[in-house]
Amino acid sequence: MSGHIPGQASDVHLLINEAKALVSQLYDPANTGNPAKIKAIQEHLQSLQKGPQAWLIANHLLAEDNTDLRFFGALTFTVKINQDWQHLSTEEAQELLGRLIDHYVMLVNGGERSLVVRKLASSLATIFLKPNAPWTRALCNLAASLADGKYVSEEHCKDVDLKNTVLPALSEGQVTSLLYFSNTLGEEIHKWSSEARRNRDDHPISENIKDAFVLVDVVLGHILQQVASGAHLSDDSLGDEAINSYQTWMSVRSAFQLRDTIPVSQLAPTTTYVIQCMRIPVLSKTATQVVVELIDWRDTIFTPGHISAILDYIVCDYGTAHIASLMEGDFEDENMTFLELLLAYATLQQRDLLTKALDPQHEKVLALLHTLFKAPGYASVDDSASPLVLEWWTEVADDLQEIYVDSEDQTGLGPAKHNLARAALDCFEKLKYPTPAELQDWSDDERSEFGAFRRDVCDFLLAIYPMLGVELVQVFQERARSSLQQQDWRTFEASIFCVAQLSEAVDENQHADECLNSIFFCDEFANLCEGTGVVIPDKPRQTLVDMLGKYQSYFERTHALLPRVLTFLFASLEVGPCASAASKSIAYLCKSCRNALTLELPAFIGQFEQFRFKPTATAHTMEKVLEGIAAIIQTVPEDGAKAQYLEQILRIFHEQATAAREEAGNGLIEQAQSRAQLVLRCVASVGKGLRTDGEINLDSHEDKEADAYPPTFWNMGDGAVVQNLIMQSIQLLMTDFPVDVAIIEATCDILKAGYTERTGPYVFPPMMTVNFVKSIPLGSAGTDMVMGTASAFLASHSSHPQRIRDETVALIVHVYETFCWMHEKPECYDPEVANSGIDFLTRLLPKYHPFLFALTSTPQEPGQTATQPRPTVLNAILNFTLISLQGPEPLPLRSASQFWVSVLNLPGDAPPIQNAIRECLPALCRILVTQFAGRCARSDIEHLCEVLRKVIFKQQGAARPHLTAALAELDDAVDQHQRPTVTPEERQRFLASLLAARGSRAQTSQLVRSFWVKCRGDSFNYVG
Amino acid sequence: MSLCINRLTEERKQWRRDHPFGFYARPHRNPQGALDLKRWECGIPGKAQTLWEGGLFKLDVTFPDEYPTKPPKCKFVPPLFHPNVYPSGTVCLSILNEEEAWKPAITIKQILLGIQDLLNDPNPESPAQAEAYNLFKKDRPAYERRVKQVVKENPAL
Repeated sequence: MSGHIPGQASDVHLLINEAKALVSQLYDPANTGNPAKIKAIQEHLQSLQKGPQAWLIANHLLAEDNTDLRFFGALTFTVKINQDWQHLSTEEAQELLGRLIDHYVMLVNGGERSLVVRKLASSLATIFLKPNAPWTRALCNLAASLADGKYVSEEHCKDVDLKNTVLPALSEGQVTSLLYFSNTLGEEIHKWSSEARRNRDDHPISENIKDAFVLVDVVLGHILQQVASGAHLSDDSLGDEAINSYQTWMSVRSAFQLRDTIPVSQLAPTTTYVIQCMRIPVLSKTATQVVVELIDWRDTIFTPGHISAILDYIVCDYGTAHIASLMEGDFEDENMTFLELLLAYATLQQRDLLTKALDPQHEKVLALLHTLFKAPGYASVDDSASPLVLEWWTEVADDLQEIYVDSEDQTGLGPAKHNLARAALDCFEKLKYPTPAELQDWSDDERSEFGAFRRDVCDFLLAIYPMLGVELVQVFQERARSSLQQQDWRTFEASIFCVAQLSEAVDENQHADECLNSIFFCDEFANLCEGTGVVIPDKPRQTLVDMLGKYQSYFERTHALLPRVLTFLFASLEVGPCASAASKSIAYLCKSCRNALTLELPAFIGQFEQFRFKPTATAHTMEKVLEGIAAIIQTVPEDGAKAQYLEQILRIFHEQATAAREEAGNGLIEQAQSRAQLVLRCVASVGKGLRTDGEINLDSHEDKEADAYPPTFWNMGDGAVVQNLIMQSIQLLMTDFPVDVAIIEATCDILKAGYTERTGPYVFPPMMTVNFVKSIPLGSAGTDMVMGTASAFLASHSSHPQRIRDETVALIVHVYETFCWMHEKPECYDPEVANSGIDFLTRLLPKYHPFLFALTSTPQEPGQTATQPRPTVLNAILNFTLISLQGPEPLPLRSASQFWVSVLNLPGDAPPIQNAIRECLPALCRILVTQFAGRCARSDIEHLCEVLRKVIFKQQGAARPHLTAALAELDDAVDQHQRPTVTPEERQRFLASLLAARGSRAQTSQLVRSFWVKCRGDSFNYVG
Repeated sequence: MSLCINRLTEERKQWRRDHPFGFYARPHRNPQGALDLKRWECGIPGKAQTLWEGGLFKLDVTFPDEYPTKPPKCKFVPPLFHPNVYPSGTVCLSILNEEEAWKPAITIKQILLGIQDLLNDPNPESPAQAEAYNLFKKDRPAYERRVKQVVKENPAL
C-alpha cells in the first residue's frame, strides 16, 4: 500500500481535491442533461481510481462529511483492490483489511446511510474472495469488531461465541449492517461459484456459512419473540434482510454442495422461523417468496413439520384473506405472492389432491384452486391470477394423463376426472370474449395477451380430453345449443371456441359425431345458416367459421349438412374478419365433397356473382371460392354443360382483362397490374379446381410418336370458346402490358393447371408454353418460376418425350441463347437466369438427355446478329455450367453442382455423353480442386463435394491424373493472398484418402473440409 | 429421464416463467392428448416497425435424441417466403447448424428470437430458396410487396 509514502503529501492533496471536485460535479444536477460531460467526468475519475494514489484518495474520501464522497471512497477501494491486489504484501493486505473494517465500524456507529455501508460491504467481500486473503471467519470477525467498536484481528477473536456473546451485544443498526455484509458476501460467493470454478478449497466458505445461518437464526428468533410478546414491528428492513440472507446462503449451500456441512436438521429451526414470518404482515411477502422458491427447488429442505406449517398458513384466515382480496379484483403483489405459494404447495401434493380422499385442510386447498377462476375481470388483461391457475391445472392434467392413460391401475381416476371437468367449466367463463365496446378500449398488447390465454385454455382442454372423453365435447355442445336458442352470443362463441379446439381430438375418429349432429341438425342452426330471423354478430360468426374449418372430416362424412354450411360460409365472405377463413373452408369442402354438391352449382355461382362486388372480394378470397366452384363444375357429366358454366365465369375475367388493359393504356399502371393479377390468379385457380379428383394416370403404353395435341371438344369443339377466353386473357395481359412478377407467376399457374390433365380447357397446345417462356425478357424477376413451369411441362410429357421433341429442343436452345448472351455481355449476367436455366437442364436430363447431347451444332437463327461466332449448343451449355461452378454466386454454383452430379449419373454406355464427360473432366477436376483449396465459401463445400463424390465413384480411373495435376498446379491457380500452405506430401495424402473413401459422403466431406480449413488457415475453423 | 427430455422439461419451465412478448412455444399434443416434448409448436411474431410487423409465423421445432449436443430442426409450417428458408420450410441459420454456431447452451428463447431477427435481416450469403432470394436481390419493391402479402396471410390474433 502506498499509505506511508512521505514527500508526496502535497501531490496527493491535489489529487484528493481533484477527486472531490469531480464527484461533486458528477452529482451536480446542472450536469444531468449533459451526457458528454458526465462521461468525461467518469473517465477522469476512473483514471484516478486506478492511479497510484488511489488508496490514499479512497481513504480520505471515506472520512469526508459528504455521503457522495464517502460512497465514492468505498467504490474506489473496490476498484483498486481488483486492480492491485496481487501487488500487496501480506502485511499490506492485513493493514488494508483492518483499515476498511475500522471505517466500517465507524460509519455504522455514526449512523451511515445504507447505500454507503453496502458499498463498503462489497469492498470487504471483494477482499474475501481474493487469492490468499488474510481473512477466514469474515462474518464473525466483522461482528466482533462491531461489538468492540474497532477492528479486532482474527487472532484475537478466535474463541468468541458469536451466538451468545457477540450478537447480543450489538445494536439493531449494527446487526443490520452485519446482515448487509452477510448478504453481499453470500451473493458474491454464489456468483463466483458459477464463474471459473476455481479450486474452492482455498476459500473458507463452510466456516462462514455456519455463521451466516446463526446470524439469521438469532435475528429472526428475536423478531418473532418480539411479535409474540405483542410488540409492533415498525421497521421491516432487519427482517427482510435476514430472510433474504437465508435464501442467499441457501443458494451457496447448494452451489457448493455443502449439504453435509450444514444438514437439514441443523437448519430446521431457522427454516421454521422463515415459515413463521409469513404470518407477520411486514415480512409476509419476502418470506413467502423465499418459501415458494425453496418449494420450487424441490430440495428436501422442508421436514414434514414444515410442510404442515405451510399448509396451516395457507388455509388460515390470514392466508385465505389474500384469496378473498384476489376474488375482489385486487391483484397486488402480496396477493399474487400468496397465490404462488398456494400453487407451489399444491404442486407438491398434486396427485393426492386430485385423486384421494382429503382431510378438511386439503379440501380447502382444492376448493381455492377451483374458486380462483371466478376472480373478476378478463384473464391476463385485468385478472393476473387465472393464467397462473390455468397453467397449474394444465401441468396437473399432463401428470395425471401419464398415470392413467395406458395404465391398468385406474384407482382415483373418478375424482381426478371430476376435478378436471370442474376446472374446465370453471375456466369456461373466463373464455368469454369482450363486447365490441369493451374491446375498443383494449390495446393491441391486451388483445394479444387475451388471445394467448384462450390458446392456453385450448391446450388445457386437449390435455384433459384423453381422460374425460366425449363427455367434454358434450358439455360444450349443450352450452352451444342452449345459448344459440337464447341467442346468448358470448356464451355461444365461447362454447363453439371450445368445440373447435377439441377438433384435433375428435374430427378424424367420429367419436363426437353425435354431439356435433345435435348442434348442426337443430333448427336454430339451420335458421342461422339461412339467415332467417337470426342475426349473428361478427365475433361469434368468425369463431363459427373457424370452427367449421376445423371439422372438415366431419362435414365430409355428413353430406346432408353441406348445403346449409356452405350457404353460411358464402354469407360470411362479406364479413371482413371472416372472409379469409370462409373462403378457405369453401375451397376445401367444395373440393373434397364435390360429388355431393353438383346440384348446388347454380346457387353457388349466383352467390359468387354477388360476392365479387363486395369489398372483401380480394384476389385471395376470390381464388379460393373459384377453386371450390370449379371443383364442382368438374363433376358435371356433360362437357356442354360444363363449358357453359365455365364460360359464364371466365367471361367475367376476360372483361376484367380488357379493363386492365385500358387502365394501362391510360397510364394507371398500378391499378392495371393489380387488376391483371386478380384476373390471372382467378383464372389459374379455376384451372386448379377443375383438375380431376384422384390419381393422375399417364398411360405409358400409348403410342410414343402419336400427336402430342390431338383434337378434342375443348380445342376444336364447342368447348373451344372457353379455351379461347383463357388464352385471350393471357394474351391481353402478357403482350404489351406492364408485366410484373405476380402476373408472371399467375400465368405460370394457368399453364401448369393443365399439365396433369389429358383433356380440358386448360390443356393448351404444347408450343404455348415454349412461346411463353421465350416471351419473358432476359433478366425479369420471376424467371425461376418461368423455368420451373418449363420443367413441369417436360415432366408432364415424360412418358413420351418423342412427342414434344421440337418443343424440348426449342426450350434448350432458348436457354443456350440466354447463356451465350450473358457470356458475351458480362454486364447482363443475371444469377437468377443462370440458376434457373441450369436447374431446368438438370431436371430434363433423366428423360430428355438424348435431345441435349445431340445438339452438337450451332443453331441457325434467321436475323441473328451475334458479334462473334457462337459455340455449339452442347459446348456452350457445358462450358457455362463449368464457369458457374467457380463463380461467386451461390445459387448457380449449387445448380451447376447438381447438373454435373446428374450428368455423371447418366447411363455410361451412350457415346455422346461419354465424349462430353471426357472432354470436360480435366476442367471439372481443376475447378473442384481449386475451390477446395480455400477458394470457395464454406457453404459451397457440401455442394461441390457431391460432384467430387460422383467423379471419384464413376470416373476414378480417368479422373485420377487430372486431380493429381490440379493439386500440383495449385500454387499457380490460387490467388496470391490465399496461397495454400499445404505441402506436396499433404496433397498426395489428401488425394489418396479421397480415392480410398470411394465417394463415401461422410468421409469425403470430412476430408475436403479439413483440406479447405488447412488452405484457408486455422482462423476459419469453428471452435467449440 | 434422458438428458434430452430433462433439458426440454427445464426449457418448458423457463419458457413459462419468462418468454418474449407475442411469441408462443409449447410441446406438440398428439390427437390422443399426450405431449411430445421433442416436437414443439411455436409462433414467431414479426418485429415491430419492420415489414413483418403484424404477422405471426408458425414454426415446428423438432429436437433430436442427441439434443442439446445437436441442434433442433426448425421448420416454418407452411413454408415461409424468405431467402433463408428452404422450400421445405426449414430455417437456414448458423446457430441451428451443428457445424457452425450451435452451442448446447442456446435456449429455445434465443433460437426463436434469432429467427425473428432473421426475418427482417436475411443473410444473402446463404440463400435457401431461389424465389425469395432472387426477388430480394433483384426487385426489392416486389420482394416487399410479397412479404406484406405473407404477413396478411399469417395475421397475429
